[in-house]
Amino acid sequence: MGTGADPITRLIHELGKLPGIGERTATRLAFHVMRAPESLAQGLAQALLDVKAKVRLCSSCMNLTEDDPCALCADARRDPGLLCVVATPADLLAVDRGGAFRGRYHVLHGVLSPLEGIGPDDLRIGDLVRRLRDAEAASGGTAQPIREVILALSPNVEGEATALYLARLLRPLGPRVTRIASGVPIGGELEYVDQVTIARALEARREV
Amino acid sequence: MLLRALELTAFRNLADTVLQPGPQLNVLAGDNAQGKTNLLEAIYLLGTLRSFRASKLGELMRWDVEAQGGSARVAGRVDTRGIERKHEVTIQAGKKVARLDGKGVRSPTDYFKWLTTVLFTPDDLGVLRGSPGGRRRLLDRAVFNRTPAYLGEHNDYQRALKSRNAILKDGGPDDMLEIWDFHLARYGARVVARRLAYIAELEPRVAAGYEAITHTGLRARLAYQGLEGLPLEASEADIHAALVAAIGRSRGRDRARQFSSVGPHADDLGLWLDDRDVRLYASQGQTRALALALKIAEIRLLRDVHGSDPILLLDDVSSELDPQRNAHLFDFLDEVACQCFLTTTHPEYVRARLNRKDYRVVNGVIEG
Ligand SMILES: Nc1ncnc2c1ncn2[C@@H]1O[C@H](COP(=O)(O)OP(=O)(O)OP(=O)(O)O)[C@@H](O)[C@H]1O
Ligand SMILES: [Mg+2]
Ligand SMILES: [Zn+2]
Repeated sequence: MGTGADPITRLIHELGKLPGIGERTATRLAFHVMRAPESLAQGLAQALLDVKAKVRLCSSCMNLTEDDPCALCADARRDPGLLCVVATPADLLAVDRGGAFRGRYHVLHGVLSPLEGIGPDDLRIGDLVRRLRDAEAASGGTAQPIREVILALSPNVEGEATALYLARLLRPLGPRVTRIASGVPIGGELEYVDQVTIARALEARREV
Repeated sequence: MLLRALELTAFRNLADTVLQPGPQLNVLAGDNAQGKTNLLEAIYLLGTLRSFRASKLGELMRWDVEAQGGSARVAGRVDTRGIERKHEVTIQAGKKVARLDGKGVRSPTDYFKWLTTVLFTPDDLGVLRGSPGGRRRLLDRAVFNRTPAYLGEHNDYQRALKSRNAILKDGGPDDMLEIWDFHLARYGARVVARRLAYIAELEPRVAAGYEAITHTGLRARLAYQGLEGLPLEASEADIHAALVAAIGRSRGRDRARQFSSVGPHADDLGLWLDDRDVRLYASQGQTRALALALKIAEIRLLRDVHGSDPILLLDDVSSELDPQRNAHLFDFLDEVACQCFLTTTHPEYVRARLNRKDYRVVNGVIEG
């Protein structure tokens, strides 16, 4: 669709390119913007432009940031020996919201997915390896090496494959590589607890 | 389980309606192409969120409604051991949305555990002597009814399989292939473990059922045919180790064929009468008796482990069974007394029973 189309059609078309927004929602949003005060359109337009102009990747953790290094990497109270690897900035927020983790992060920007043609070179894996090597090389001075890498990837097929790939790649570089525990759903419905589920739950047991 | 009310909107050729089925046998009679199987399909969709014959969800929507971009809906009130739940499936624009008591479903397992449907169609009679794929589907459907979590595990396996095949097709590097070898084995072991456990539970019930139907003294046996020499009581870890080894050995061949040759997607359900392989040697009568015994065993097993009966959907099976097998089927239905929906072109074949409700299906209209 060229710029020749009328503005409202164009807006619907542009909004419809966003994930999770179908034509109906796009139409509703467009008419909402039309009816709302001018300030809403201006604020929205500026925010959209700023996101592209000002936000970039932190050169250390690859999270989205306005400042480089980002606030998380610059925070001296965070343990630099502990690195949590996540798939997306949204996952980082989810992990950090809990407040239980006080180390640093690394954002991969995706997971390995042969079905979508995403391989290791399409992710920030090279940066992660470089980060571990640099920390190792600088240790002995004031810096310290990365002791542990925690893989906080979703327990789905692609997440598990990525975790396995990273574990094999990173272990030879020195750190302990761990995986966040994924709950085994046992649930209260006893009639559904069968042998296989019980065996699996026992296998995944941890000390409490 | 009891389906107390069923509401249909724009489903297949069926006129919009609300039915109050009877608690036991519901007979749906009518000529060919009137909508009898469509009604079973609606109930099956409500229970499994799938169709047993449509390849696209859009096919389920009444043609005139689909042309206008509308939606189809099936809703039912299900009573499970005194607890009533409202199940609801809406199909729109090629997508389905499931609701339980009006709320979106977060975990599919939550949805499935309140409503289990067991389907029996003439196709099931041919499956035992047909291709391995048909027997795998038969087995997988039954395992899912037994343990709804199996659906997710099976999907995970399919995804791992497609991923590995994509690597093989692209000629991906060895380190990547190794990752997916491991995963194929890991998710594959889950699937195989479920199937083995299910077969172990089912087999004695099938043997008893077959003997009750035929009185021949032949023992019906089932076995899982996948990896050579895997015992029925193998643990998931054992299966995993065996799969890792077998997939490793198949790597060269898989690279050449660009396809994964080892795993549960290539396995089979073996069936024997004494030492004779049913898939090769059974007569038509024996095959039908065994198919019936398998279904009856499935229902008995579900009753034993879930503490409630599934809802039975019998599509035109009476016309495919001889009088003696039919008599056995109806005796069984009398005995279990669970809710059943049965389609037929000849209601007079369906032996009169107490607690029976008759419907006529005429050009999509269901007359009570
Ligand atoms: N989406 C749809 N919209 C309208 N009609 C449909 C749709 N899908 C199928 N039909 C019609 O429904 C009819 C088939 O219904 P169904 O398969 O339930 O028949 P049946 O009563 O089971 O017949 P039989 O005794 O031959 O098995 C056909 O006439 C078919 O054209
Ligand atoms: Mg039919
Ligand atoms: Zn950073």
